[in-house]
Amino acid sequence: MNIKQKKENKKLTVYVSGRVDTATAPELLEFLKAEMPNAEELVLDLMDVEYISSAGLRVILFAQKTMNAQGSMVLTNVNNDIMETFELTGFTDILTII
Amino acid sequence: MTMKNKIVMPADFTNLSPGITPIVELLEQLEVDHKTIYKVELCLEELLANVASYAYPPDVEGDIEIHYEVVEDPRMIEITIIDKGRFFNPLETKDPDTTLSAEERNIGGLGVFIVKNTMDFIEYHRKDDKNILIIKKKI
Repeated sequence: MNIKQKKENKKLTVYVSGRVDTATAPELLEFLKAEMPNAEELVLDLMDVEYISSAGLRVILFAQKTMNAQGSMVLTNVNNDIMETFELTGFTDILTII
Repeated sequence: MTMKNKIVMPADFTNLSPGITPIVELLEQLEVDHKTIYKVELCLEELLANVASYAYPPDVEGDIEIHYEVVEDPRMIEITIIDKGRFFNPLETKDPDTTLSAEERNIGGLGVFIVKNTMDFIEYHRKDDKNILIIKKKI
């Protein structure tokens, strides 16, 4: 997994690539914990993410809860496999996916 | 094809791939569709992560044994996951309420929920101080 970010004022865009799984999800969590406090708008770009397991879902849920309290969050470029997991777990109802 | 395969790997949740990659590669060789392979891979990770986290607590080392084979009529991948850790039946994990808002959601139970709703068959036994979990997926 790799993480890049772009900051424009209070908007934070995080580009994730690779696999967000049991082994890598903690790194994404730490990154978001460090970078989210100043953001009012978070964009999680999953264009190059091929795989997300429940460990990744927990990180996304944490980010959504955090951003609900301080602004907004959207996910972009979600692939079909990941979308199916979001649908199965009801995450499509709590996330904003564009 | 009825050849049985076996993997023994350390229960280390930072590296579960030894228990996943050979099975994914087998399914790729059999030209199983991508979507199905993805689901098997996902479920395997969830179950192995659970063994590495709960059956073996953080300070306890142990091995996970995985048996897998393709059975016919209907064609399925059958995977048995065995550990010698403490009693842990993932099927007893409470399902998350997938209708709750983000604020009301808990982070637990998602992995097992995914497995229960993705696999075609899932069964747990406790035998000879081992946790034995069998999953099957049509391929």
